[in-house]
Amino acid sequence: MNDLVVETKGLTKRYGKRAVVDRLDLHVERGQIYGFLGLNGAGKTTTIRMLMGLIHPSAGSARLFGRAVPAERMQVMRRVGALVESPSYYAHLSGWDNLKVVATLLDVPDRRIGEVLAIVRLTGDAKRKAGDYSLGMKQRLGIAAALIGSPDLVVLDEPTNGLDPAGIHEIRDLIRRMPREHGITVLVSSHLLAEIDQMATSVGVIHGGRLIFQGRIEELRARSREHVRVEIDRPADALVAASGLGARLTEAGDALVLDSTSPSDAANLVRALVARDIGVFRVEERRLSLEDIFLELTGEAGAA
Amino acid sequence: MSELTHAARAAAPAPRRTPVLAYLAADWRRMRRTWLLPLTLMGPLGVTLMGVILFLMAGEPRLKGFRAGGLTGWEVVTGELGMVQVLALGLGAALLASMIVDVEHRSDTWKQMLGLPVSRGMVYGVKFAWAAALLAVSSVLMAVGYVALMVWLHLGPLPWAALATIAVLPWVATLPVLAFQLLLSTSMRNQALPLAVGVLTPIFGMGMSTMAAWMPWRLITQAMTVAVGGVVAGGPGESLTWLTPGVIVGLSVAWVVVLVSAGAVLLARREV
Repeated sequence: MNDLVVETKGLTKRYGKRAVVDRLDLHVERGQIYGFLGLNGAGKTTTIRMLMGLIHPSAGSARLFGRAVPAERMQVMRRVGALVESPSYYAHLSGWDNLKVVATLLDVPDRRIGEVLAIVRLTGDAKRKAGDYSLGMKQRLGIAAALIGSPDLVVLDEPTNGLDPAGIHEIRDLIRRMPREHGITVLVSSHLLAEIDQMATSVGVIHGGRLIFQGRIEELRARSREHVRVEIDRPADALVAASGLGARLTEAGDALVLDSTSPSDAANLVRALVARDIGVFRVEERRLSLEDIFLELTGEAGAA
Repeated sequence: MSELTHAARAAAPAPRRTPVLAYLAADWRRMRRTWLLPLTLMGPLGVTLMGVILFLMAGEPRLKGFRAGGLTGWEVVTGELGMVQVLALGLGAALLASMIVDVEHRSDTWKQMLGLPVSRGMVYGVKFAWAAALLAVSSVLMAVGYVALMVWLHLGPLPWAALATIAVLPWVATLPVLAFQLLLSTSMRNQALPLAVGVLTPIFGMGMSTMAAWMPWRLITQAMTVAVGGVVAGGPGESLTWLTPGVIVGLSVAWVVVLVSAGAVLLARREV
């Protein structure tokens, strides 16, 4: 049995000559929280719109639970809940009425409206007009609407956009609970790596419409090579002095970077520098942060 | 993990087709607290009040024909208000069509609604059905308004057949314009153009003898002419043509089928 909840093959969307989404092969497995990461304008929302059958791909195909969208969307959309871009709500209706509109179309009992309102903690504000809600409440209302049909897949497009730290924390918590408590697979997009890092189990990085990384978040983190950085006073001479250490040494401004963390390598380097009377100010072990890796990935893709 | 997903699946109802009633009910909930319902009442009320003012200001000159026995009471009231009703129907159709889709434009809810397992054609068809229903309510209320005026002015026995005709036939003849306006209002976010078209076309359409009689805007005038049983005052040159009530209904249905289908296809293809 195919355990891929979302699968796209060569998914492409062109506007004129520009490919906004370029030959995307997404794989989201059941039970994952898939972080869809990319800068603003990288093609995240366009991809999600194609997954939801809201726009037609220029080329390639998308499948949800093995069913082609948009061709078979009527059969599969019952199992999908989504919050696409900014939250959609009828400003003149109460939060409860907003959910009732969706519940009516999905033929869901009113009891479920109360449940999802409780999940997103809007029970106390259910009777207020949605137009008077704060941005965070509107966002939560949108998530409640996505959850109301008890979906197996929830697609959330930048769900924490414009929220304050408390709101971000709350939504992140909510997303992390979905697979655990409700068996829901989550596809969540963001332009913030830190956010994806805190909740996703898998990650896809999109840049300029192309998927430049896809895999478990640990694999991404494994790329965070450690190195030793040595700050010195005469970099030019230093490189010659330490040439015995081989090619793993590079000069970076007024420092040397040793692409190794073995204690003996570091000790040998310092010994060689001191022997040549070169001043050593600082020796530190450094790690590429996920942010650095992200920038490196997107930088490479941008240059290619 | 597999157990969790299995449990979730079992809890979710099996996929099935959304019933028409659900579409209707969802749209009804959306329409509440909007201007759609007040507008439905205000249209006929406004035309009736205009009649009241007209007869209060210069009642006797207007009733001269009736007093002399040349005109029936029915001819007097429809002579004053028939053309106003034609304008109100055209304008009302434009406003209803615009407001019923602007609810979605303004709240940016197309993407939410069309992401649900709903048929886009049904979504569109139901919007048309609701706008048509509201316009029907207005038309019936307008007939009630005529009754009120006739009773108030003691204009003789009520012509029930003519009243029934004026409640139904002009409404049917307005549906093509409604379908056209809905198409226009759905296809663009900014409602300025659809509303401008909706305001101007009835004004030009009704007096414009150069426009073919089977065109939507002329149909309303023709229907009204039939309903009042002859030449409508204020519509110079408008007289009974080859358009019998049966032909008017047939043409209207044909226009509605073509225009609503076109709108449904447009929404189905639309990228949201």
